[in-house]
Amino acid sequence: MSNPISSYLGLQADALPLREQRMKLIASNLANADTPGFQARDLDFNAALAAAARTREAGGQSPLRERADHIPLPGADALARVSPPRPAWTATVSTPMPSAPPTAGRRWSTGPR
Amino acid sequence: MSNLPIFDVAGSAMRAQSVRLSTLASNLANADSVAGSPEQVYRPLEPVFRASAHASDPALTGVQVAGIVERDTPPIQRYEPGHPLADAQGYVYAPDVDPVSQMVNLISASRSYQAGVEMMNTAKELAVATLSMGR
Repeated sequence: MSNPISSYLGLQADALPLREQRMKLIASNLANADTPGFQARDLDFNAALAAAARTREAGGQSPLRERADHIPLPGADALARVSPPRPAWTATVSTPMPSAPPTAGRRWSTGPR
Repeated sequence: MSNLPIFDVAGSAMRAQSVRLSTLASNLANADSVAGSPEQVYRPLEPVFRASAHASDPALTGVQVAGIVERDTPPIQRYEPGHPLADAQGYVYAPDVDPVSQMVNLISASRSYQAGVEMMNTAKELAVATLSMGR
């Protein structure tokens, strides 16, 4: 954050890579809309936030909810009891299979005909 | 410019959908191509898509045409003794192509191709907007 522009932009400068990452995931989902068996992916913000808060508390830092009158975070209440760590992205959408994968009975040609 | 690999993904989707459009065009064009024996008849083609992870970025997954499958549905036997291609019993053989389902498939492929174009336009607009930031 030594860059004056990034310090001026603050959180937005950090938000841009997040949006870019999400755009990449959505572009991949869109590109594979007709791919049989493809599992669509998206970012799970609550899980990522909960994981970030967990590591913050595990590192001895103050929790994200520092005062009693702070609005509780959606994932923050589950911090104590969420035991298995979830990855930052999880598959939230499943795509239907438009066509069955090739079977052994079919003839194949990989090159242009 | 770090969001250029999106063009690879959008391009792979458009390439895959254009292969699909080509096979559909072949199927529709040959729906009435009859042959004198079941072996010589045109076989409807179908592309098989496969997700392929982008080499540089694990968040990106493009599409790859794994192959083009010839469907082995039995051809339709039609009795046309006057046809020049008819066999000794007077039968000709037509491929089992359903024009209605092919047209539905064609519309779906066309929409998916348009989604690829739209993806590319969006990525381009965002890249230009990022470049013009602070101007």
